[in-house]
Amino acid sequence: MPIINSKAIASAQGDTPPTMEDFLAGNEGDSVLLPPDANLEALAPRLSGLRSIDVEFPAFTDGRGFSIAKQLRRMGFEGALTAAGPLIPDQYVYALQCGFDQVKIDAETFERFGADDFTAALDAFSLTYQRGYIHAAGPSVNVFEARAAARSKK
Amino acid sequence: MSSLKHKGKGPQVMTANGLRQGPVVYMRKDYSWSTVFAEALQTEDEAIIAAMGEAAQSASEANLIVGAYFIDIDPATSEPARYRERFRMNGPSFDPGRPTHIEHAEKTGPIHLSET
Amino acid sequence: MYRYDEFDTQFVKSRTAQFREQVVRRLDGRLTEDQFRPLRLMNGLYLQLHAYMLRVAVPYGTLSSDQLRQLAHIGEKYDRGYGHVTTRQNIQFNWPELVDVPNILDDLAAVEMHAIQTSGNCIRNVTSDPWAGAAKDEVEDPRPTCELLRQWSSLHPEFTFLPRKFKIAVTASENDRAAIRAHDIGIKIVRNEAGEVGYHIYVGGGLGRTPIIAESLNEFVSREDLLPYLEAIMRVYNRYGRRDNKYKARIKILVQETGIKQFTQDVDAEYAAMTPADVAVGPEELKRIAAYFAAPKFETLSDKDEAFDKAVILDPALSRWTQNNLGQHRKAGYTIVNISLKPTDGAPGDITSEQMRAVADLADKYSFSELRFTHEQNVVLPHVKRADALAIYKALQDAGLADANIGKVTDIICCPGMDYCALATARSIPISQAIAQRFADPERQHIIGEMKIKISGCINACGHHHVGHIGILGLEKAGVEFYQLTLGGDATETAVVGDRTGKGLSQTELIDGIERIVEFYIETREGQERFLDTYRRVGIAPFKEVLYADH
Repeated sequence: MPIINSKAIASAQGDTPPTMEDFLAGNEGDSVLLPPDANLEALAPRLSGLRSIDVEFPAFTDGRGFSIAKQLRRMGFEGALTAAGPLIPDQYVYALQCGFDQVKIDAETFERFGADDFTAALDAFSLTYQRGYIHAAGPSVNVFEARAAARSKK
Repeated sequence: MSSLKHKGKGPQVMTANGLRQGPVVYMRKDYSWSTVFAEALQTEDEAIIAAMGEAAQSASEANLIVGAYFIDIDPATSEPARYRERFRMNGPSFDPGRPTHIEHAEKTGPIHLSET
Repeated sequence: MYRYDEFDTQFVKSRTAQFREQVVRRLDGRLTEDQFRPLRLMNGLYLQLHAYMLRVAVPYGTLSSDQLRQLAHIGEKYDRGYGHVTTRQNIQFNWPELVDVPNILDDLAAVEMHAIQTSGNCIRNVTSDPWAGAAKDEVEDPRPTCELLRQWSSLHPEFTFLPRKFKIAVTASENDRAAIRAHDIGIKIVRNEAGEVGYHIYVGGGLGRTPIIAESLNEFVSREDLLPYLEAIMRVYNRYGRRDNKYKARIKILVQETGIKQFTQDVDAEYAAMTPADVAVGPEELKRIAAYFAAPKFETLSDKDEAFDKAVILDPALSRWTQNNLGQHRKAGYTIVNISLKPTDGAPGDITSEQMRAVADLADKYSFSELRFTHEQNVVLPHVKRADALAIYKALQDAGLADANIGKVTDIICCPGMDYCALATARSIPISQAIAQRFADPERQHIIGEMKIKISGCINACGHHHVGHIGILGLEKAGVEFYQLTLGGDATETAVVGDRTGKGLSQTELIDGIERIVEFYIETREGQERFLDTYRRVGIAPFKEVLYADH
């Protein structure tokens, strides 16, 4: 399944990590696939041992994963965070803004748009109104902070 | 992808909306589309109905129309059987002080859509 | 009112360019209809019963005369010469073509408008008191708060694919003219005992299939905590709101199933886990936004105007219009002019391009170029000198907008129904017209007094029938329309869902039945009792009896 991040687009066939259930049942492993209704408190004790987390998006209209990413980053997770599901280019940038490093989408969705559409989607906006959601590759300026900066210059 | 199937009874007409402009359209004999209901192909022939389903699928994939489906026709009136479909055919029942939907359609003329 | 700065301008430009590009990708097939649908909806574009429909955002119902003129232009150039004011204080056009929509968005952007989030499973256009900034009873102008919420909610990366649509309303008055408790989140601006202004938050209201009045979630959220607190609510909803059933996906169902106590704890826990200062917007920025809403330069006037009072005495029609359509302004000598979009023979909420221009001219001449759309589908000139009211009345007569029926039995909230809507099960506009015709006599309307009739053409309740004094729901069985009645609903600070009367009625039975209900009320009322008060006093039983008298 193609993996897309702000540095590269790779058609790597990344391994599917173990499910959350399997991961929590064992004592090993440094990667996991979280379902969209994952209980993050159950994962918390093992978080520091994780290198990578995939978050499942069952449909592109199901936005739970965006909040999961935000919560995982807040819990201190610094490893690789991947949004796995049929996300469309216009959502790719939202995923990055919420804390994902990359998206892993199915081949059919990827084929339909092509790499260029995903890259171009990053350029759609340079601004975001939400504090805490800027991303260097996409909306890199927060409007409220830019206004504050302009005020302090005066 | 499978072609569209009908679940209704009696004569069938294929309807959709034009993608670019949005109007209600009906499939004609040559599998092109028209905003004029009178031009719609009405049939009970299952082979033709199957071909209509395939043609509608193809027109959707060609980004000509959107949301295609079969509607039941009342054999007594040759008009749509369902209440909702009669509104789609006639336009709003009330356009106070404005040209009616029908008058508007007469002014702009029929719209025809085809894949070629 | 608010004006865009360079950032707002840039943002809306980017949005328009993005949608133009999305349309290209739809037309060449890269975006399937299934993928395009949520994207176009988030830009207010529906595919309705007959055609596309574009809903333009009028943030918290406030707009300028120039903006209204641009809407008139759009109505003429791209549509059929009219627009329709909605219950979310927006305006929608019923016949645009998909290929024209990017150009319409450019025209809107030219006057600092857009169609962002007027539909879709995201935070919708924030609504508010149409008398904001003019009302005598408000703690402060609610619009700076609304504008902050507009910006914060615009293309929120985390909350744009919610389980379902999400509606927020803000009021700053005890008299709730924004129906806040019929919203997913209702915000009431309040002053606490220490004299600080903050927010009383209600959650889990909504109409639709399962009408619920919002419950109190937090009685006082401070100004700086508003955005972090709302973000906590949104995150809890986004993570745990139901996604298995579209009809159980609104936050009201989550609140009901979780229980308000547990839900409050969940929100508090989420709030405690975040760093509020990272989300909040500082006081400088709030001051910047609030400055745009500074009161216009009112003159010092007296409420006495002998010429006007004399004209009122001489002209009963003018007298009725003065009584019904003028609201109490906070400044002496000023008044709030409510323009009715409910003519006897019209479609409630419709306004032609020509009428838009006439109203825009009046706003320029008499109301500091400012206008409002109301959730009851009317228009407001918020700051008018009482001395100018007569001239305005005459100009409104020329424009066919002088109906003196605000708050009366013919001032009906009505969804587009089967005449336009793809979801409708029955027509609603002709019902509203039949009621308006039955009660057309202005003197009779005056005798009846305050009466809120609300009509929905399907169970989704866009016409707010659950909270109408008389609510009407249109349904269909085997190709025949019939109508169910609810009584005693209320959308204000005393909000309550109306009671179902029982068996559905044909259109004729319905109109006759409503007339008998109204007559019964007039016979039964005590003193100055409104219909709603009488209903509350005597209960549903006698009303049911007269409603079904001919059965």
